[in-house]
Amino acid sequence: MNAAADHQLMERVRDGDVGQLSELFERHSRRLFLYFYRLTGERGASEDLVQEVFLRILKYRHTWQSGQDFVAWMYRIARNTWNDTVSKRTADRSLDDEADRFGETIASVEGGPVEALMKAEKIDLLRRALDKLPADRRELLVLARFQELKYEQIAAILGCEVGTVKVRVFRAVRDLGRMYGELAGERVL
Amino acid sequence: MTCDQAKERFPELWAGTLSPKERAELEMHAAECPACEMESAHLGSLWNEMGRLPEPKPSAEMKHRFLATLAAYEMGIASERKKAKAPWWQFGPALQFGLAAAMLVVGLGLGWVLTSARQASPEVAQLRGELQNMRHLMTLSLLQQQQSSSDRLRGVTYSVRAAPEDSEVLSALVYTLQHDQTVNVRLAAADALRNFRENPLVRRTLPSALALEKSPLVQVALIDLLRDMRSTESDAALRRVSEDPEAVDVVRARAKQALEMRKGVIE
Repeated sequence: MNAAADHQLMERVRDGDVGQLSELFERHSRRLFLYFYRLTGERGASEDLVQEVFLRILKYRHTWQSGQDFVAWMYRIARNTWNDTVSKRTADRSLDDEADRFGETIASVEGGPVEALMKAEKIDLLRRALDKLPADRRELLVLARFQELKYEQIAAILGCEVGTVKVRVFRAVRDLGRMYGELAGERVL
Repeated sequence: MTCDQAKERFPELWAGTLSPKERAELEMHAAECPACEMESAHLGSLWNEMGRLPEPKPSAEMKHRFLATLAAYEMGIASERKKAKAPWWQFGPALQFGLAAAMLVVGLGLGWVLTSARQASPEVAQLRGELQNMRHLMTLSLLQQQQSSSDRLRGVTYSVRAAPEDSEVLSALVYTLQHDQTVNVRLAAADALRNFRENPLVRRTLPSALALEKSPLVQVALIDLLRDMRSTESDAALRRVSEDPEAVDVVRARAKQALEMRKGVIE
């Protein structure tokens, strides 16, 4: 992603050329969708949250300052949007969603049927371990591993020091390893 | 290098973002510390495995919905600009006079037609009443019973058109503003209540709605609304937000600005 292009586009949006937001949507909506999908595991909710983030960007465009990192700013808005909705979410993920996710996992792996199923089970186990992590650790892994953001950007999004991010990312992976081990043990039993 | 320092760098090692010097230092530590070497290998394979998780794509509908919203927003801005560019008093005096005369004639004519129709036909009056009741019920149903946020949004829009000043509809709108889980719906409810800001129920409940609200978007809309309501309760609510350390900077600044504007009006 070209940060300078993001910067220019957002400057134009802030100065009133709001149509340029469609270009920013084109560039970032997919990664934002994946961010929310990793947090919620639900396609529909993730799409709604992406819409909400871009509507907030539109509403708060005048608060964006030249020189800011657009991606970090966008993720801060995304986190706030998520935090606003997470407390109001009541229903757990449906069985249909779970079945869809396992179907997606099987479809994504290659190899013969037995090999594919074994790989899919491993990935499914990892996904379930991720789901079981506390929300803040899961979010950190999503930002560091799946969104592939720099630690400086993650620090700006979370409002902490880079060193703190490094320590927390390691701890989150370590917790994921423990959770994965526990789930694998359950499955064997 | 201590074990803690080494572990801090593991994720960067797995992601391949360490500099050659940092990598060499880490490898030197791992050569001397089998526990760290084992932990890095074990968790590193998990890190790689995460890269295999499927990445679903959003539906095309998501993009269409956003582009449609953006287009509507742009149209709204364009029409505002148009209005601002060509205010009515910029037309020539002859045109102003002509328009005023034409409106007077149309108004008198419409008044005569409507009055005579009402007197002449009680069935039409009855039908009108029934239609009003139906709109009223539909508005309440959309506001109170719908699971879909777009339906509830439609309910808010209808409430302004179909049943202005109806206390039941106003209560439903206030409830929506305070409790609806979707920001867009609460925002629409706040905008709709602007039309009824002189109503006692609305004046009583909006300050507490601001205190409950967590979304900065809706907070800003409520601040603007309270600023225009001009009451001691609304000023107190604005003051609380302007001093709230947990409020977002923009929201706090907006509340301060609103209070300053109010002060300017009083002075």
